[in-house]
Amino acid sequence: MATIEAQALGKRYGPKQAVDDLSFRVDPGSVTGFLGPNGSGKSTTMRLMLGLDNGVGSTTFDGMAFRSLGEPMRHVGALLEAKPFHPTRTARNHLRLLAAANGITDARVDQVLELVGLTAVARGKPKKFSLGMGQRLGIAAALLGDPHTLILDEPANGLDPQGIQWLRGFLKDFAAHGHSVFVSSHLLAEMALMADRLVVIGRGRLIASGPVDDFVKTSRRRAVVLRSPDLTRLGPVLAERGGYVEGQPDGSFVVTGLDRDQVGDVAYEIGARVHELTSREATLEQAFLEATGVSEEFVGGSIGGEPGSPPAPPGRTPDPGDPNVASAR
Amino acid sequence: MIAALRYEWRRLTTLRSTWWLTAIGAVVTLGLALLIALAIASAGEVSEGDNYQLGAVATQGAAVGGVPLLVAYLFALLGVFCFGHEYRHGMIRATLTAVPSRGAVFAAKVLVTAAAAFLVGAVITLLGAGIALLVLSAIDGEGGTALELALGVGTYTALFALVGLALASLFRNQIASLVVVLVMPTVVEAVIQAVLVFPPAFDDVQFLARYLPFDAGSQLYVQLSPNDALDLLGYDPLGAVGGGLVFAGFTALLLAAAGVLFVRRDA
Repeated sequence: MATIEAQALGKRYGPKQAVDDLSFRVDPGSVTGFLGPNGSGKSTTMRLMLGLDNGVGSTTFDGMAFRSLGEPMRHVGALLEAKPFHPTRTARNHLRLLAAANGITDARVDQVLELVGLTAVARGKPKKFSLGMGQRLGIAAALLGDPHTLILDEPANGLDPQGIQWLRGFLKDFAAHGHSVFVSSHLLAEMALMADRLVVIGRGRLIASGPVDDFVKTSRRRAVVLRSPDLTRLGPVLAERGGYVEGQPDGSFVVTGLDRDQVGDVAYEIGARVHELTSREATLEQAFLEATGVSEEFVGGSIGGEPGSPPAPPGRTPDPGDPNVASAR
Repeated sequence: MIAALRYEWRRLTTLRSTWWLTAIGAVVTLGLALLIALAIASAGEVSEGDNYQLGAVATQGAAVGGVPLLVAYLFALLGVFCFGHEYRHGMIRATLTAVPSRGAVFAAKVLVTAAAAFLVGAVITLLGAGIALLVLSAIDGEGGTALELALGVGTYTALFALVGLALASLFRNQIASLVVVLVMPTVVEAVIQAVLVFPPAFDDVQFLARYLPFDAGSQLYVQLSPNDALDLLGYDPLGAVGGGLVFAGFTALLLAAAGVLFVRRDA
């Protein structure tokens, strides 16, 4: 078992409520994606889960808080930010350092270096690493203790396409072995391929949680495309049955509120001719944009935010949960 | 706690700066020791068993001339790096996911830094005393003075390193901490001391100058200093134990503040 339970997480930065009464559950056996617009509190949530930030609420890993885990890297592996290592300590020594506190052998260190493809530069200084190599080292650190749970903040950042493909396959396989993966990404297409379940937040609040397919089905963009010369007869009946029909510039019609079979049955009932009848599936991206549109704080093009919301303080970067911003350098 | 100590020890020993600072401290201190010993010998002023000559050689002159004690300053840098690197490179989050108990992380840093600084300070001083013995035979029968010096230098170096550690933990900024830890003893205290001791108007509060922490702490290893001449102005510095306690108290206050904030603040 490797269940994560987050209960009523909350974190306030001055007047801004970064994470607000956020509860969710991550079950083993599937990859759970963590989605939210920039600044919605994803990184802050992950730090709260690991006790790195002090806030309210609790997170348990199989019933235990992170801080009370002995040799925590053997239970939970975490990747929180790009390049969390000393620039002149070799990659291998960086992992040996983390291993020292968790009773992990040097043999395992070499094993994870091999796994992420860093063996050739194991004794190289990370200051010469590219973003992608740094990310691989971060992933190696997360995997070091052979944990049952992974918490990864934007792990695909900086990886090349091969690296992303490897990561996707690895995480799916890892989860299939009865482990838990909680992974954030802003790449929705990537998330659609990788995640089985989703936790979606906006402005620090939970918007949705559950299987990816269920979330996508909530999209209004899911519709039926219809071409019919008899629309004058068909239209009113569809409207009667709960459909909403909208004409398109190309002469077709988009029906929402009814599925393809229902539209087809109605046409048959009244003897209307149908030249095209297809389902149009929404994408995760469309569902995500719809779900978070109302809660998106830093909408492109408008500096002051939405009406009624406090304007973004000047000089403040959009993501207060972003570790690179939160800690002044 | 064992895990935190293992972590901190490996953190310290896998940094190049640790070895650089230690090597510079040893090479420069012992090189100066040899030069001073040879200078005394070639001036024909060797007096067997002279404690001041021993002090001059073993501490690159710091014990007898108001010269800064190099090894202590070097380990102040090491103390600053102890937390400075964590915040500068975002390591603190990796550290706390490997060792989640903040109390243990802080305590391990204090213990390992203090132990390393004490050992290096004391060993270098003993080696310097060895040079004094070889070149000048300037060591008394039981070697008591050499041990006292080693203990004093070791303790002062350890406390100095902990001040650096505490400042870096409080400021979370390497540069600011480095500036403060280097400027405090060399400039700030010297100015305050001059203001308190020289003008007769401050005679009533002159005794406060005894409690300037770094100056008081230096009494741990100082045998003779220019301050002794301030006798004439009625200034009476603390002894080794009193001075050491003042410096230790100052360090403890800084560490307590740093430790409490470290546990409470976001990483």
